[in-house]
Amino acid sequence: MHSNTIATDTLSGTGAAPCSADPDLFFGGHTEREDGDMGGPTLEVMQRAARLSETARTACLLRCPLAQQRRCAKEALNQEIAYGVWAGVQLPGDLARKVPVLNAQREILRGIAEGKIDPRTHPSNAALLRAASDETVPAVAQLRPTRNPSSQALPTAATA
Amino acid sequence: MSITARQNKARALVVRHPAHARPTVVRLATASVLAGMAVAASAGTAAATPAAPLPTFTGTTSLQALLLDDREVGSMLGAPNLDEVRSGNKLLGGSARPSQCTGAYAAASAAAYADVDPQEVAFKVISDDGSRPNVIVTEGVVQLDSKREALAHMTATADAWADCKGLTVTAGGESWVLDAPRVNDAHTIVTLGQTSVDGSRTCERAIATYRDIFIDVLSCSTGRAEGQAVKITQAIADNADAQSV
Repeated sequence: MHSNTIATDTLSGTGAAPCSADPDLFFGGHTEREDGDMGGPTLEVMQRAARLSETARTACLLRCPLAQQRRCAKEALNQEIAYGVWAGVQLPGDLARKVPVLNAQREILRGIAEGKIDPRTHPSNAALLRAASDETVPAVAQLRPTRNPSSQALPTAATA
Repeated sequence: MSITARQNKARALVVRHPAHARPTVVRLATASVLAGMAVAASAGTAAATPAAPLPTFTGTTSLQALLLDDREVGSMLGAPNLDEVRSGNKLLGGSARPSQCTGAYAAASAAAYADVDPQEVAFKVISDDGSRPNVIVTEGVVQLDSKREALAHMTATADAWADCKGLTVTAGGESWVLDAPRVNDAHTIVTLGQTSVDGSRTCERAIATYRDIFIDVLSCSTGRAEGQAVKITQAIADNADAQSV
């Protein structure tokens, strides 16, 4: 099952969940899996994906209720998902040399799912939250605009 | 072909050598096979390769058993806190850009075996697990249809690596610059260095064959990875040699 479908099915009825409003922001990257024979992401695409990842994580941390983040974390673990932003945690993909990072990120998800980690106070999110609080415009207002023909051309990519 | 059938076939083909005749270092490929490769010798001029008879497999119980465990890799690389973080019996997915360099970038990658028909596969990923690992090793062994196919695949792989010389490969949110492939003096192991664009990490790819077994290794380190994949590849070959009769 594609992660977009999982997110939509799992989180339907939860109101204005950021990942439901703009699933590509959360799950659309990682072209090493999704681009078939196209050859993986360019450096430019990866840099853009890194920025989108930060936006998605920030939105998740600031807009998603903790209970919803726990559900997201459980879902990512249950489905053994390796891609996308879940509960504010960026999963790095399943390349072999990303396995240690994937395991570490899943450990954070496990802590969130079990209620042992509050994503808003976890050290891994400190820089993001500090940056968001420093912004003149609240980070929650910086989500990408609703899709239009030009934004559909926006490439999605892998993030580390 | 089932493993049992292949093992029986291997037994039928076995050529036994007196113990004293077994080479200390397994000769993985003949110089003639590698002579046409567009690779540079790692140091000096390669000596002529003696025509030593090849040891023969007689029923490897498991490809997985040829691979090093976390303690062996840790001891070899001087990294005591390594763990096996993944293992399996299928080639790995994922691709890099440019796609033709995926096999130069990653070990045991399915993209690098499109020209052959893998019979059995085993791989392990060993690392000091964490969000910022210092060491990551991917070691794979792929049983191909024949020794001839394994050697042909080694040549083709080395040529593919040569085509990636100097290119920057991107994958998994990172970019790596690939060196030219090199072959050791014995013409048995081909290696390829990789350096992250920020210079913080290096990796070494290494490939070799032992009969119909293709050995495929990647070792990455925050320090100097040079020589690491070679050692692991040789150790896997030695394991294979120890399991042959």
